[in-house]
Amino acid sequence: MLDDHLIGVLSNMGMISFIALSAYLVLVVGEISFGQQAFFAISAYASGIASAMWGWPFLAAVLWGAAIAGLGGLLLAIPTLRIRGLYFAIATLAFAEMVRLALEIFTYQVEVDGELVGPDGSEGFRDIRYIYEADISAGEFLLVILGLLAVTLAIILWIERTRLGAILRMVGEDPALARLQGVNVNLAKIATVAAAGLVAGIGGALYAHLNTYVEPKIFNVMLGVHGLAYGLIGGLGTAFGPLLGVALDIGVLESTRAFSGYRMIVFGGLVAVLLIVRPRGLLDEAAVYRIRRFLLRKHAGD
Amino acid sequence: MLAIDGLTVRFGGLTALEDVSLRAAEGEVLGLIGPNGSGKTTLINALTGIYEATGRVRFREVDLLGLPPEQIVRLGVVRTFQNLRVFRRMTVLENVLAAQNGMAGMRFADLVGGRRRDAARRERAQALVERVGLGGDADRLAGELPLASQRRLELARALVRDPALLLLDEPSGGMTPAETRDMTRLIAALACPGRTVIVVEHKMALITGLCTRLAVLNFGRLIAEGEPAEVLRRQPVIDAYLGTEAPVDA
Repeated sequence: MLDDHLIGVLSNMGMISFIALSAYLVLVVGEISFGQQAFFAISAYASGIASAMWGWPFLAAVLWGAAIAGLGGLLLAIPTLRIRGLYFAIATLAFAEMVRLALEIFTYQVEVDGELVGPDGSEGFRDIRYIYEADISAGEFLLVILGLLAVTLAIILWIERTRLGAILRMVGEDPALARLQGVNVNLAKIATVAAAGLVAGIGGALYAHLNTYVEPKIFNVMLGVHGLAYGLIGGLGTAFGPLLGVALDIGVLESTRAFSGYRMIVFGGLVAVLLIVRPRGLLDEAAVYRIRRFLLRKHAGD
Repeated sequence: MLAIDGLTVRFGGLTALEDVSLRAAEGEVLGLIGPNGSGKTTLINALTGIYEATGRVRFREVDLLGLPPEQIVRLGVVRTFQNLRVFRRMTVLENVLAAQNGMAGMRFADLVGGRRRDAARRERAQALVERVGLGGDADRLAGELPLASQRRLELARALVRDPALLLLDEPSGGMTPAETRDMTRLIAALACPGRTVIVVEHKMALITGLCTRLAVLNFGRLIAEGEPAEVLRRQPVIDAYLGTEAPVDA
């Protein structure tokens, strides 16, 4: 059986993968977001409110949290439509800080079984106890995380193979040229940023329920920077890229404690080196294309 | 089918196109020539909604000026680029498939469906890739292709929308004479009764081999228009291309 440490590491990897996939989706359409942690936070709170305060079942609370985060994505996408590159990146950062600071003053509590439950500003939001009350073990919850991650990943991988996937990549590579192929670039960007909000939201909801406690300062910019860096390290040619980034950082650097005190230095250095030698990450489009051809040839040879 | 009247494009104080009026009939191949900087590409950019312009452009009873590029494309006005623009990080076939976006009768299900969905359009994309001679490269990344092949890809990508008005901006730019001959043959095979082609070119072999009519631009103005052999003999056209001789004192 898996020991507790391993379950903890895998759970963390699973939850952070949602942020990594979320930042990746935005990268696919050609923009950089430093603010995907905002959607993680929005959903952590919204799903916690639904399950701990309104008595909703767990899965409904997760979907609700993700939906609210997706709505948040829509709210971010519309006013930022006309800005690109650095300006978009700064707008996402500002948005995420606004969300975090708003949560610092957000208080909404109700009495549940004689106790006050709910977000209490900077004191955080305690007692999101659904999985303990339902007697779900850490191992079982890991399966829930991995199951939702598998479904999310499967949907993204499917879309990448379709015409819609090609359209999103066109928008990311050359938006002006994409328009000349009949693509509604604005619609593609709005839909992608909203979907990215939703994906981060699934992770946020899982995080809140596993930890039973969230507070605004968890959702600071470093969370978003990590999410972004995973795609840049792992590669932007396939949705497996950001997951590879997560595996390298948490799975190798953090969990083996190989560089204990120097982990962030190694991580930051890795990002810097890769941005120079492989700007689109390890699994970039050319690598994905070579792997695909290799697999096809092997398949044909069998 | 295409009627341009008083088309003017200004960038700040610079007038890139001034009061250009031009007609293109259904099915004709119109050559657009002129020295560098005479406004040929600007004209194409104005027609495809990239530059803001004043005047009037009617295409099949629709005013094009002011429409966003994606809508103009959906009306059947498709172009290629002088400075080659393909999606380098996508495969050849993906480039062509993705260019079918927003065509008549296309539904959302066709965007997210599997390989079996939308088979007719997929086959058409595949057939065009083969027709321009890239059948063996269909699954290669477009950025890895040599220049001449990328030009062919641009052509396949434009044709996949079955354009009524095809705007080719220096389709043989950077090609060897042999490649240029192939390209000329390819373009000649594209002209058909329902399709108007406007070709911007410098190479006279391509122009005289293809075009039924020529329009000549110089410093943003239309200086000549007519049957190719006759237009090329006109003095203002020769002057524009060769420059006027400085008066020599006797």
